[in-house]
Amino acid sequence: MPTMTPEQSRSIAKLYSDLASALADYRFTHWAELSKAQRAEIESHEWTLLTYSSNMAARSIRLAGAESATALAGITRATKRLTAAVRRVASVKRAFAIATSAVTLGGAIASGHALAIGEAVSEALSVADG
Amino acid sequence: MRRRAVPPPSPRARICRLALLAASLAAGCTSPAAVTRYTKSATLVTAKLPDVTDALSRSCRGAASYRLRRASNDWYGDDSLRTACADRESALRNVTRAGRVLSAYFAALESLAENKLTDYDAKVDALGSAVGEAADVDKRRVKAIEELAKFASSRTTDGYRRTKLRDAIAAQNDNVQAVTGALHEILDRDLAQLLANDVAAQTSFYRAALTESSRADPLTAILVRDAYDERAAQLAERSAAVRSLGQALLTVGRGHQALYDARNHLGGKKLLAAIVSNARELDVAIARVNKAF
Repeated sequence: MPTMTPEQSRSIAKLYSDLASALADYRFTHWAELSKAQRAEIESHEWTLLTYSSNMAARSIRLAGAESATALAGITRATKRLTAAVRRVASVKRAFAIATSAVTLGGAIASGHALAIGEAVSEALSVADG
Repeated sequence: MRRRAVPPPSPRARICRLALLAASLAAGCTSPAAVTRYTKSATLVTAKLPDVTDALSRSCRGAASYRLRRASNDWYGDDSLRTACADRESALRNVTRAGRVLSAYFAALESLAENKLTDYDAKVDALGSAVGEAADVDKRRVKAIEELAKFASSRTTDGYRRTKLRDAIAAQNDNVQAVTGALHEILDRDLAQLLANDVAAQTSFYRAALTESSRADPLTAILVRDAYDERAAQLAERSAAVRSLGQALLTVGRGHQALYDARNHLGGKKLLAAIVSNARELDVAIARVNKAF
């Protein structure tokens, strides 16, 4: 079974780390507008994204199937678009949608199923552009 | 007392003496001060890897504890932290093993340079196999580690071990370049990313705690901020040291390349000067790593 190259997993590790930082910036910038529960939920997503990033850096997560190169291009595009979206988002509802989509994508990558990754990428692109 | 006349040596004895003289000269021509100097510095670099990986494991557990403390006030045990860091620790074990194989190779080279018997070490051979079983190191590098381990663990028993030095350096140079190159990438990028994530976790933890309670208890907030600054400075110093150690591994590779390029003149002054300069670079890096870890 082909696996991600170290270069590919490094790239995703960096993207997820950036995404977690962008969400943290959103949380602290909009601290007063968010309820305690909302802050806790966004923070929980940040921790999950950081964990995904660390797992990628440890190269312990693999992609399944021969579609890994195509999947990686999709993951990179979707993660960059989500990071850009969270940096300009104003509405709390959209911030949640972006965070949830990023965590879903990370979970799909962790599962290693190409089909699940493909669906999560499509969903993430749609949320980022929404 | 009259001395007894020494009988002239037989033609066969003369041939034996000439052969011995030639072998001694060959060994003398490869007076390996450069090799000994190189192996001592290179070993100091690889010896730091376990300290770095231990620190990275502790750092992971620290970040995991921040997450658990932010999520709940419930008590958590060390097991929870170890579970959270299992993936990282598994990856770090490979780094430590590859470093130990390099150390064993340098020790074997040093023994050959000093014309000593090298000891068979089955543990080193097993280390090479253990790295080979780990799936996340690519095949070329796994092969390099296995070959280095096999060389380092083999018993060398014949009479002119120094003459084997040149062959060993020639045979293992590609492997040393592959393993030092891989460790450099891992330190410079993967471990640096892990530390960056731990920095993000720490910043998030302290920033949230201070934002939530600094108005209610400003004096405590000052102490908490001081604790954060101290820990942030320590992580920044460690990040810089990890990159220095990564660069040092490249320097170790360059030093071995210099030995390889001069393998037919290992006793040359030019090589010794290059290795001394290489060792000085390593000393600076090691001092920085020693300070941080």
